[in-house]
Amino acid sequence: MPEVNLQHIDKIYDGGVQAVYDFNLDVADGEFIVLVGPSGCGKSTTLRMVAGLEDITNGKLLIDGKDCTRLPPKDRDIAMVFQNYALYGHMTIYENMAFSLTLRKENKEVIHRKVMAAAEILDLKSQLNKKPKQLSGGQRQRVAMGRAIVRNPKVFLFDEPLSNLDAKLRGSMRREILLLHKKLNATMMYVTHDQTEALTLADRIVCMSMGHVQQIGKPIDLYERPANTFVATFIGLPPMNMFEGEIRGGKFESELFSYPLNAKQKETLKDYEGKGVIMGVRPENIVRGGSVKLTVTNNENLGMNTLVHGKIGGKKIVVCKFAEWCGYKPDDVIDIGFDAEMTHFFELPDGDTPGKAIR
Amino acid sequence: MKQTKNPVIQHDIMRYKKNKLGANLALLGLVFGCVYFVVLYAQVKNGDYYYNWSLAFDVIYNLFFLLFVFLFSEQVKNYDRKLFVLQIIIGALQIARIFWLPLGGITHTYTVGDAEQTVITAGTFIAMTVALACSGALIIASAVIGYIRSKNVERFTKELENGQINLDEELKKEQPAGGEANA
Repeated sequence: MPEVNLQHIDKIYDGGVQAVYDFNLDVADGEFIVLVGPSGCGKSTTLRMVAGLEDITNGKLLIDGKDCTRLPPKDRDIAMVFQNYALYGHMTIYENMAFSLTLRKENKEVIHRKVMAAAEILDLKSQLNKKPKQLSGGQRQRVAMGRAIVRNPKVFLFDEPLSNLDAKLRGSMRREILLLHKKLNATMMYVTHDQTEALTLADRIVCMSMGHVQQIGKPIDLYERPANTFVATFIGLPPMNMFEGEIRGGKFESELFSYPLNAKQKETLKDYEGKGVIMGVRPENIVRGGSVKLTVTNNENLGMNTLVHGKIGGKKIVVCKFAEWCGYKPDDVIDIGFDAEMTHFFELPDGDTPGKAIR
Repeated sequence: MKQTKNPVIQHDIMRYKKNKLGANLALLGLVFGCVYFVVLYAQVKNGDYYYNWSLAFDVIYNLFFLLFVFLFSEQVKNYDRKLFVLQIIIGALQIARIFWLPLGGITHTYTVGDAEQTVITAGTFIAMTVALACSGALIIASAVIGYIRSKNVERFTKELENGQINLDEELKKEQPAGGEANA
């Protein structure tokens, strides 16, 4: 039985603004789901609906088989970790972690055992007598997680928990959350706009845009087989290079270059002869030594690789990622080509609807 | 089913939770002390029995009393027993004060017209006596509880440091029957 079922969930605010459209998701027991997307895409709203902090306009929410659509948050057996930690400043860390259990009038020994177990997991034992203001951002976030752990909920919800931390701390906290998930084997739903967090943490990613689910799948699926142009450009850093053109005579013809298709691509694109399509190539799938001329505008050496920004035909900005240390100067012209196995083709977008992948 | 308490866990909890009982008893003692002097000062009239140097001394003593009892409550809260003896003395003095101004007021008489009457009524005397007795008893109780608990915490911490107690093992033990009864 799936731990969390979201069935045809809609969220329409009082003013008539719709934030989430027909959201469907089955989260399995012990699964780590990450909702990712740009600001305003409806990911936090969806999480808040699961938590019960937002009403569900249409649809059904089941947690462990129980209909929780109209259930108040306290009866859903979920725990939420917020971006701003939401700790009580006048309480010690111990009291903060024990607070929810104290409210439930649990036995003091039970509370103590749970708090100490959570503190052990999160390496907070030496901080228990301190106040939140005496802790670093990362430690505060661990306390917020500890407060969720002691409740032993059915589902953990994380709403951008690492957004307030600096990049280095974010990396270490990311690893801690992953370890925590392995230790607890709990069902977790995690909201972020950071694709690195999504790719590294998730068992499955839900990619959202403008209230719509764009793709649900394993991180590798979203990266290697994006469902549409939105997912293709949102997942991956730097984003995928997109070229608009059309299929003509076994070639992808754009106004900037002509790219001969291989047999497999010809077969896939046979129904698109004479039609407009988009070709997508990730920066790391651009190779040196092809037939396309790139005029370098910027060369960024990152140590283990080099990002080369340039223009094709003086118009289209392209980013290439080369594994070597490169020393190009602005206005250098280099020959590039595309790894045929790693090129993607999409239909043209239809208004706000991103172009679907052609497979 | 009645909860079976694990003494190790109970002591460990004290390392992370303040001694609220001891602190609150001291503060309650302070409140009763305030009741006493409010009742006393309501009896003071210009030129009467209480209107002399003893009243000035009582006012000053009350200021120190308020300050010290507040300090006692804070130290007891943090399992500190440096001021234990002073706290016992102040508690005992509260009880001893019954025999000074309240007893003086009920035993001293003056003449109004043809009638002799005491400075304070029996009801006022009882109110003052009860307030002072409660104040003293609560402050002493707070001191004793604070002393016992601070000793317990100190001993427990030493035993932990010496490795005489395996706290991790105790924490991992199953909660005795009824442990989740009031969950």
